[in-house]
Amino acid sequence: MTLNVERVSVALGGTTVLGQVSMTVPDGGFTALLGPNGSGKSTLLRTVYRARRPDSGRVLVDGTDIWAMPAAWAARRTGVLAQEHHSGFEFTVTETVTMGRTPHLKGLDRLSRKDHDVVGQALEQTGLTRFATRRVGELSGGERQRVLLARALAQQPRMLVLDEPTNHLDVRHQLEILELVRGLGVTVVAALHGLDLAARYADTVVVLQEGRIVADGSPSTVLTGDLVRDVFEVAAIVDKADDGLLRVTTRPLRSGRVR
Amino acid sequence: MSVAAVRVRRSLEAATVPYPMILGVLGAAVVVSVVVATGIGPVRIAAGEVTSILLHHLGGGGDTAANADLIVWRLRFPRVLLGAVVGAGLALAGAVVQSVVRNPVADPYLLGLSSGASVGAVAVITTGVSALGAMTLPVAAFAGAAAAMAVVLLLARHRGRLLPLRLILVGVTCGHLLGGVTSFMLARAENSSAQQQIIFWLLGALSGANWSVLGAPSAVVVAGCFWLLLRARRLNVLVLGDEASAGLGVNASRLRLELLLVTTLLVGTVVAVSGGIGFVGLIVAHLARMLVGADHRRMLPVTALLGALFLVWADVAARMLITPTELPIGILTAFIGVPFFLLVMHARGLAAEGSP
Amino acid sequence: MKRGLGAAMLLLALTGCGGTAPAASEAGVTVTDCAGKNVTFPQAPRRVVVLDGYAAQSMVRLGLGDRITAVGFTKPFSVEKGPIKAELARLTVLTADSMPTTELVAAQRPDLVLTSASTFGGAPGSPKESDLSTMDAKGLAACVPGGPLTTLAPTYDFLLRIGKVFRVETRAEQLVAELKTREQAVTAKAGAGPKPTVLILPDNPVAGQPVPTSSPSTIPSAVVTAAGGQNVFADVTGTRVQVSPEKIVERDPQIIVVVTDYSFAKLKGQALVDSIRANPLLANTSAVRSGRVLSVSQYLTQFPSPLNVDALEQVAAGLHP
Repeated sequence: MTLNVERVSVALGGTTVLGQVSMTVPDGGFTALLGPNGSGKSTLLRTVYRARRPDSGRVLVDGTDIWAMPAAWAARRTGVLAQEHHSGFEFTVTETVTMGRTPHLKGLDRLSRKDHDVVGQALEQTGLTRFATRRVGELSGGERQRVLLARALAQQPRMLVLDEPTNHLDVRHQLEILELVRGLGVTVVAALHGLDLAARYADTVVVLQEGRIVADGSPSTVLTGDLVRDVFEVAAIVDKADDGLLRVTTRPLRSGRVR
Repeated sequence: MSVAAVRVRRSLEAATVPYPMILGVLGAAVVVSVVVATGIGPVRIAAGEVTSILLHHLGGGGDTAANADLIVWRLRFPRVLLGAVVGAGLALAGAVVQSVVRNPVADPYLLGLSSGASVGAVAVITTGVSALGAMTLPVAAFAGAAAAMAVVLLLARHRGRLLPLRLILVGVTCGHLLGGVTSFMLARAENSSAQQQIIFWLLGALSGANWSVLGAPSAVVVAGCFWLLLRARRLNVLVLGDEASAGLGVNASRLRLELLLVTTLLVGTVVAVSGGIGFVGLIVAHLARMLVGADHRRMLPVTALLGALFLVWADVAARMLITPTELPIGILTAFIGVPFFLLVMHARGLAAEGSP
Repeated sequence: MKRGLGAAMLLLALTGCGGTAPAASEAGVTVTDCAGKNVTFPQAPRRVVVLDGYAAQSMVRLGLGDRITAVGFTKPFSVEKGPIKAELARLTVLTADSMPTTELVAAQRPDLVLTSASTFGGAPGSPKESDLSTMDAKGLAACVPGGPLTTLAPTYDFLLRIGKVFRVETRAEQLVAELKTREQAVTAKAGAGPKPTVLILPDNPVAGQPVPTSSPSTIPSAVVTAAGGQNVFADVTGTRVQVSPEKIVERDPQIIVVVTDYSFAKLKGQALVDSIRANPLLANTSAVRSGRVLSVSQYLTQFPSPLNVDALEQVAAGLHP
């Protein structure tokens, strides 16, 4: 599924958060959004998964403006994995993953055999089958994030939107999640903090700074020491590791001061 | 069906007691309780006679001149049924409000609904307006609840969104303001009979029930329950928050608005006939979650049945505890409700550390 | 709601009454109820359930004791000293300490339910107007109009309406005439003298809390006024009135009338009077310093009843010794 973002602008309280942002993610592509905190990554993603209507511009999925379609229509095509705050109620893992079927169901519809199959498969793919009856609140952070991924998979999306999906996860779980997503073969657009992770999994990176795209292209062409220095305000050395992948080493521009 | 799918179905029905059995047992308990509660009252009437009176009428028989017929069929039975309907309505509304504001200690009165209803009712009582005859008070109470909710929604809306925290803040604030208005009107009431009516109304009561007041609340509670079941799946999603809702194709703000309008209808109609009965809306939903989990498709019907059961028996206690005098039912729901609520909190605290 | 509970208890006690003129029609007798609606009685009621002792005393004094099927809240009988005491004692009692609940009333199959309160359904579980129509009974309540009350008009109005409904108008007019004569004797004697200021207290004031008192629209205040005193809080409105202790000191009542026997008061009778005399909050009032603290039972003054005139005479004797 192809994603086209066309000149999307968003302002919050008079401040421009996104200004005329355009980008294209080809079918099956993995695009990583990079940029410091407050650069507009999350806001851009929110316009894509229908959480924030753009003030101007369009978001097209396979040529259709998602903001002109019902919310459920978009949710049958796009799955989301974002940071979720825990609420007071305790659903079980299966209940939570089953909620991924919501956009495919109407009012009193009972779960069909197909729905059960999809949920079961999502649990298996994420290695959660043995946690099926546990409450989400009892799980660890990494397991919880896998539950949310399973829920997104249960939507049977052709595109996944990931908003810093690996925050608060240890290295092993970060890699596991992205490995899994990469292996699905669906279109992926992900906001990532780790430059290494972006270099490893994305085939395109888009760099945002103060709500505007300052660079895009393949990781090896975009991620240069100068760019990292300009956008993230850190000194960086970019080189190739033994496995042929890009390696980004960063250190503070001036030591001993926190700005 | 794959092995995984079988496992999914099993884990969805993982409760130690199968869900249909819980529903069946509760349904039967409500029916039995209504009949038994109709047999209990300050005037002793033999169980056999109560049953035969009920069967006579349910079989289409008309009123008879017998004393027992008057007491059982025209006074007690409508009251017990009203208790069941009011209990179910308040419990459902409580469950919905808790999900809408994502706060487990919310109750249907949190958003100023009952305070609004009180202002409407008290205004009618103190001014003595009776434009709509016997329906004046319920209509005014409902109008008050609806007006309060309209104001709360208007003030809580921000950039086209309806967020839980803002709803709670605005609702609680407006509720206090309206409560002050009620207290002021009560203090200034010139007429002692008006004052008595106001106080009795504020405490909530099922007395004065008869067949004519049963219709509207019954219809609204049944229709409301059905409508909520249609939305139950999306209600689950709503609990996860606005972002997750958006990702799952649910417009959280619009669903909240719809749910609050239905809650207004439920609470407004119920409070209009019974006054402000507390605690049912707060605790019953928690008990239902403990029994069948947080999935609204399972817990909403259980909530309605438990609410009906709870209020039917609270009313029996109100009628019988210090017989032949009667206690306001609000006292009983508090006596039973508060310790129970603390117990549930304690149990929840043990089951899931970190969640409120 | 929690505050409402205490208030409900207080209110059950602090209720008073005024009325409207009855009108006859061809089909029967029509009287006006407290809300201004006409109620028609094709014939005199035969089975009357009386919800409280005050109304029962009115009935029996009108010679209608044989129409009473059953009676509730009989505590006011304890102050009855007249010749009707024996007849009151013979009545069937449903509930001695409270108003009877709807079912108990319905089981008597009344054609009339009578109360001295100005509304039905005020006490928890007692029949409401809707319950009365369910049991095919009519209701008759004493009415207090609201607004300052200086005479016992609500009492006379209630007696006359009962007389009308039971077709014993002559007897009712006679009784009212007797009561009025006694009232006029008191007011005539008091009219000439000075009018001392009076604080009416239903209970011993507690430091730091507002003090409940009787507003000018209540029977106790009417009794004090007719007896030649003036309610020190004659300017307050509403019925459920609470005043600040500071205002009591500022207004410095010359006399305190304690209305005793309310259920919410811990002490009863003389013990309550003694505790009020000893209350430091009131120690500086002229009333306490001069020892002028009187008492009268709520059973004589709370609701319209012929005994209101006994209360009037008793209070007048204390005000103008």
